[in-house]
Amino acid sequence: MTGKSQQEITGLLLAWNGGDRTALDQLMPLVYQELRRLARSYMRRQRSDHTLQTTALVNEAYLRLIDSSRVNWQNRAHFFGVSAMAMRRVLVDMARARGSEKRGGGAIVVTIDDAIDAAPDRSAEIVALDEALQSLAELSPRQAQVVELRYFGGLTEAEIAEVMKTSERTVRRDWTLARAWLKREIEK
Amino acid sequence: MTPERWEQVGEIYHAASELDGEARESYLQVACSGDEELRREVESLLRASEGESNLVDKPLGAAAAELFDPGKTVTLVGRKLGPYQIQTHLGAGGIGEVYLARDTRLGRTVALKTLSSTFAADPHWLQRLKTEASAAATLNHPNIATVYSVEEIDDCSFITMEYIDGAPLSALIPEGGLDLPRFYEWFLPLADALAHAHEHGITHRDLKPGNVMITHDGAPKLLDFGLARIDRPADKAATPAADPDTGDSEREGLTRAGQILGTPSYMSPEQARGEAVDQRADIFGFGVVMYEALTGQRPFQGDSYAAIISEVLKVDPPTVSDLKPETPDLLARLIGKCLRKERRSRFQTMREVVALLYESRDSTPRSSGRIRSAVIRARRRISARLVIAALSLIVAALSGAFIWNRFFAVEVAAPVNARYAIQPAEPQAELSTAALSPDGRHLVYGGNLGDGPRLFLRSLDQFDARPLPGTEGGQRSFFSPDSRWIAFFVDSKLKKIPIEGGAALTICDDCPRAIEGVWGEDGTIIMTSSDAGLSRVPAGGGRPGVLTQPDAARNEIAHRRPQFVEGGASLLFSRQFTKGITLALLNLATGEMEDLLELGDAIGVRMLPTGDLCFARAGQLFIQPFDLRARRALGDAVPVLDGLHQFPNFQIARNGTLVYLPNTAMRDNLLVWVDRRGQTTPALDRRGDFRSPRISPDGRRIAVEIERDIWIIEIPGGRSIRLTFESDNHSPVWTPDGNRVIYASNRGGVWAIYSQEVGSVRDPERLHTNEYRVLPYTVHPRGDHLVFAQGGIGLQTDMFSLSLSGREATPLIASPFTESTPRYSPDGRWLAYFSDESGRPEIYIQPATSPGARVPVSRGGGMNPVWAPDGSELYYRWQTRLYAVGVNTIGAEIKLGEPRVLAEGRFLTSYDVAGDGRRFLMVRNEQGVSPRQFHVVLNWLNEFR
Repeated sequence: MTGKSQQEITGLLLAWNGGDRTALDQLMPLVYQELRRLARSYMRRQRSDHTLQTTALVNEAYLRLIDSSRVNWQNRAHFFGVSAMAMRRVLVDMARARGSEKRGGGAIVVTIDDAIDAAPDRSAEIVALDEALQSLAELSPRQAQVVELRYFGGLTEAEIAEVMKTSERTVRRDWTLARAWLKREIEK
Repeated sequence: MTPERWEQVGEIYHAASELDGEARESYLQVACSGDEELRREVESLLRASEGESNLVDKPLGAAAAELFDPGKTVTLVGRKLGPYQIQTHLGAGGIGEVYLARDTRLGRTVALKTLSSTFAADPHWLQRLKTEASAAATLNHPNIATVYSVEEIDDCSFITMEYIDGAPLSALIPEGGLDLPRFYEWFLPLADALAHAHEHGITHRDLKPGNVMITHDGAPKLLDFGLARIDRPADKAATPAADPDTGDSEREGLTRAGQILGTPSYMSPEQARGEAVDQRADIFGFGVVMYEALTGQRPFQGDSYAAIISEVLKVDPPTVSDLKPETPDLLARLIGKCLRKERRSRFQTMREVVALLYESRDSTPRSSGRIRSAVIRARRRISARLVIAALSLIVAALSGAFIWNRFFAVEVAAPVNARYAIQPAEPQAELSTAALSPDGRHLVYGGNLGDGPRLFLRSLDQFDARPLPGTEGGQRSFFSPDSRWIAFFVDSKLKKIPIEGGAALTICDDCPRAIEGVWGEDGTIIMTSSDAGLSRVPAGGGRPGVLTQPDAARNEIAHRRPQFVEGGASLLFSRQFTKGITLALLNLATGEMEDLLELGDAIGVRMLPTGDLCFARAGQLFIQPFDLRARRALGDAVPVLDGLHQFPNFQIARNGTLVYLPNTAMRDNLLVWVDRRGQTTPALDRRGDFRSPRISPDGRRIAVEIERDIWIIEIPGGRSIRLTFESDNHSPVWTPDGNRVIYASNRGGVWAIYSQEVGSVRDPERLHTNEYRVLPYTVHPRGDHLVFAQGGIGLQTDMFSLSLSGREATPLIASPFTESTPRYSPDGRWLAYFSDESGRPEIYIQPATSPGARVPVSRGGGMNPVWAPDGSELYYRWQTRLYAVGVNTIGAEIKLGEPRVLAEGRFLTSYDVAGDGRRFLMVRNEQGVSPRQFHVVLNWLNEFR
C-alpha cells in the first residue's frame, strides 16, 4: 500500500490542519499514489461504468487512508482538498503521458470507429484545463483553488468554504467568474 | 492582466451579471467609464458564462476513465508480440488501441488491435470474439478489410487485420453530401461487400462512416467485421440468461462501454431496444450511412445519447429527396426502406439493396448507355447462336425472312431492360409456384407469417408484399387474363379472389388432384394434375369436365402446361411421357389432338407472344423458333438465359417482363474435409455448386460436378481442369487406374455414359446410350465393368451392370422399388446400395456375384454408401448425418457393427472418403436449398421481338 499506516496518515492530516505546513508535503504524495492506484484498480474491476467517479475515488482514498474516528468534518474537508489537488495531478500527469504517446505515434486513424469523433481526445482537454487553471491561479489563487476542489475533488460549496476558510457566497461567486474565464480561455 | 485588474473585472462582472438588457448596458457604461478594454473583458466573460461547456460543466468521469483504462495506459510501440513488431500507434478504438505492426513471419504490414484487459478479462467474451473474428476471417471480398487472426501472446489479446492506408469515409463526406457518381462509385461495392458477408452468415452490427475506409486509390473498404459485438450492447442483452454467473453489472458494463465510446446514430431500433439483431440491423445501419453520405446529415440527431436513441426509435427522418432533390426517386425510396423501424418492413437482404442500387444508378438518364451496351452484348451472343438456326431456315426456304426479321429487328429497337432481385420477407415463401400476372404488374406466392399459410401479393413497383385475406391455406395460384382475379387451390377446392381484396369465391369444390390452372379469355379454366389429363371448369363456377386422358399404354403420365392459342380455339400443352415431353395441340371444338414437337427434358414449355416457344432445360432458358401455323420448329432451340434454379419457375408477362427463380442457393456451397469427429476444414478456398465429389485413386485429384459440368481439381493447390462443356453432366467416377473419369451426359439430347481420359484432348468415348436418365456410380476394382442407375420420370430407378469392353448393359437389380447409389467394396466382392423396398431408403450389402442375398445395414434410413478404403467400414448418409458401420467379412459371411454418427451438418448427400479413411470429402451447404428470391427482368422479351 502506501508504506504508512492509517494512523500515521491521519496524524499527518491533523498536523497539517493544526498549522504544520510540512505535513502537507508528506501527505500529498501518499494521497497521489493512493488515488492513482485506486483509479487503476477501479477501472480494472468496475466494468460496469466506463466513467471514473473522481468523487467516489476520493471518498475511497479517504476511507482507506484516514482513521475517521479521529477526524471531524473539517478535517475531512481538508483531506478532500488535498485529494482534489492530488487528483488533478494524477489526471494531468496521465493525460500528458498519453498525449506524448499519441504525438509520437502519428495521427492516421485507421479504424475502428468514430469513438474518437464522438469523444474527442479528453487527455488534451484535461491538459488544456490544467494550463488554464494555472493562468487563473496567477490572477486569483483562490478562484483556481475553488475550481480545483470542485472539479477534481468533487467537494460541495460548503466543504470548499470550510477548506478555504471563506464563505459559501464567496465560493459561489468565485466559481461563476472562474467558470466564465475558463470557458472563454479553453474555447477561444 | 494583473491580479488587481482581475479583481476589478470580477467586481463589475458580478454586478453586471445580475442585470439584463438596458440596465446592464447602462451599468457597464458607468462602471467602465471609458475604459474600453475593461468593458470588452467583462462583456466577453459575460458571453462566455452563457451556455454549457463541454469540459467545464461535465463531470470528469469519462475523461478520467479513458485515462485509466488499463488497456490504454501502456503503449506497445517498439515492442514485439510474437512475430509482430509494433511500429506506430494509429489510434484508439472502442475495444483498445490500434497499432501498425509488421508481421515478420509473413513479411506484411498489419493493423493490430489490442483488446483492453477490461474486455479481455472475460473468458466468455473473449471466446465469442474469437469465434466471430474467425468467422469474419473467412470473408474474402475486395471491399472488406480482411481479419487475419485473433491471438493471445504475452497476456495480450489482439486482432490482426489488413492495414488500410487511406481516410475514413466520415472525413470525406462534404457538406451537402457526396455527388451521385461518387456515391455510386463507393456504395455499390460496399453494398456488395455487405451482401457477401451476409451470405456467409456474418453480420457487421456496427456500420458507420468511421468503419468505412477509402484507400488512396479510391477503393472503399468495410472494416471491423465480427468485432462489433464488443461495442454493442444489444448482443449482450439479446442473451440475458446466457451467463448468470457474471451478473447484471458486468453485462451492463459492456453495454455502457459501447454507449460511451460509440454513437447510437447508426444503431437500428432493435439494437437500441436491446433485442437480438440479424442482418436487417446492418441494412438499417447501411441505410443510415448512405443517408449521411448522400446528404451530409445524419438522419437521427440529438444532443445526448438518450435523445439520439429516442429519434432512432420514434422519428422518421426527412427523406433524402427532401434534403437533396436531385436524388433519383428509386434511390431515395430505397434508403427510406432501409430505415424502416420495423425490420420486417425493411429489405430482407442486402442482395436486394445491391440490385436496386444498380437499378437506380442505371435508370438515371446519364448512365443508361452502360446497360444498353450490356443488352446489346447479350444480344450479340444470342445472335451468333441464331446464325446457325437462321441459316437452316434459309436453306429450308420457309418463312425464314420473317423469322430473321423478328429476331434481328431488335438491333434497332434496343429497349433498355432492367434487372433486379426480389426477396420476399415472408418466412417460408413458396416461390417455386409463384405466379406473375399477365399484365406483368403483380406477383402472387404462398407464404406464412406464423399465423398459417396464405397468399401474398406483391406489385413489382412496390417494395412490400401484402397478405391476401381469405386465401388462408391457398397455394398454386394463377391470374385471370385481365390480371384482376387470382385463382388458387385450397382444400381440394378452386377459389378466386379479386386482387384488390374481397371475399374468395369458390369456382370448383371438388378438384383434389389439380395442381395447376390457366384461365382463358372466354372464362374457361383448364386444370392439370401430376398424373392425369386436362380438365375444364367455367371460371364462374361449376363442375369440372375431363378434356384429355394420358395414354398409359404409351407410358404417358400427365398433361401439363396448358395454354390457350389460336385465339382461344386450341390448347397447347405438354404431354409428359416417361421419356420426356412432347408438345401437343388440342382443338377445343373438335377434341382433335395433334403432336407437334418432341422436346425431351424441357420444363415449362410455353409459347411467347412472338409465337416462338420458350422452355427451361439444364438451368438455361431456351427459345425455340416456332411456326404454329406450319406446326413446326424453325431450327434449333437457342439458350437465352443462364442460371435458372433447378426447379425452374419462370413467368413471362405480355409486356415482356420475365420473372424467374435464379440458381443462387447452391452457389455458395463449400467443398470441405470432415474428420471423424465431425470437424470441418475447407478443401478448396472457393465456393460453388459442387456435387458428387470423388477422390482419385492416388488421392491427389477430385472429380466433381460444378453447375452441371465435370471438373478435375488438384488437391492441394486447387488447379482446375474442366472436362465437359455442354449440356448436363453428372456423377463422375474414377476408373481404378485413375486415368479416366466416367460420367453421364445428355449432350445431343440423349442420355449416355461417357469415359474420358483425364489430361487428354481426345474426345470422350461413349460407352452406352439410354432412352432414360442414367448415372454411373461405381467401377469394379478389376476395371472391367461398372454399375449405373437408370431412371425416368414416373419410373422406379434400377441398377444395371455395364461391361466396359463389350459395352453390354445387363440388369443387376430390377425391382418394383428404387435401387440406387451402388458401390463396390474395395475387394470387389460386395456391392452396397440403397433400396426403398421397406418404404424408406435403407442401405443393403449383397455379394457382387449373387444378387438377392442381401444384408440390411442401416436402420431408420440410409443413402449413398461408401466403403472404407480397407473395406473395414461402410459409411452412409441419412438426412444431415454421416454414419459409419464396422464391416467384417469372413468368406461368404458378413458381420456388421452398430451404425454410429460420425458427423452432422448441412451437407449435400454425395461425398467420398480419403485414402487414409480418416477424412471425408463433403459439400457443405451454406444457404439452404430452397429458392429465396426472384430475379426480375423488365422488357426482357423486347430483346427477342
